[in-house]
Amino acid sequence: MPVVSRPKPTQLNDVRVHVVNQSELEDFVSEFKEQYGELAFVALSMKDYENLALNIAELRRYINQQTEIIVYYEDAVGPNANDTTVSETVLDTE
Amino acid sequence: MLKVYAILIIVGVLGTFAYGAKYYYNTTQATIATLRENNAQLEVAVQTAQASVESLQQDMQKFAELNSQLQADLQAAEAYGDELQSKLNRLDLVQDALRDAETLEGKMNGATANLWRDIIKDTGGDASRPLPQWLQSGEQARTGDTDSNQDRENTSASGESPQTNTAE
Repeated sequence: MPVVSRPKPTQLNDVRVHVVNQSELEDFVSEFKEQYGELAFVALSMKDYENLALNIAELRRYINQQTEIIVYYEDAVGPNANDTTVSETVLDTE
Repeated sequence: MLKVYAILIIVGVLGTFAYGAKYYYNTTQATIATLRENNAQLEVAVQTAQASVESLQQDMQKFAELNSQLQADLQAAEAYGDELQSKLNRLDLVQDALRDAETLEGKMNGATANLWRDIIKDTGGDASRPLPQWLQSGEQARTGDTDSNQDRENTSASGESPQTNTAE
């Protein structure tokens, strides 16, 4: 049975996280504006950051388990050195 | 005259016996040939059945091994999420951020960068690309001179080991 090729690997970009507390907020704002020009950013609470991390971990689990299942089926339908089908046996003995 | 009749009767009886013997011999030979042919067919059938049984046994053994391996691999895939959940339960990120935001930022960025590379590796990609410049420099977040989008294009950095703590 033919085995189709895998999808191309993921290409992921690095993501930079800024952790800011109240005492460093003003410094952060000024340095952020200096670095990026504009003051516009996405803020996450720690709880949401944790949820985001857990969501990514869950997606990673799903990807890896899906891959393992694909590997299982590839091995299952792949050639077996000791495998002799019934039809082959009949042809050989007749 | 009686002798002639007696001889004819004896010849007839002997002829009948001879014909019967010949008929018996022919039918017996035919039966033997049929049985021999049936026996050959049965031998082929037995060989086929034995080959089928062996093939099924091999398949069963193969699938048992594959199933066992699959269960182990599926369990292993749970490890990262379980470990992360356990770590997040153990840590108090709010308190860590209030105490030392810069250190926490370094840990987060290091862990995130490693996570992307692990996922790239999981999907069959090349995870050996260097960490972004701003992460390698050891100067975190607000002191970096490039952003993550710029680093996306600049992946030809030296590949030095990161200065940040990526353990958590």
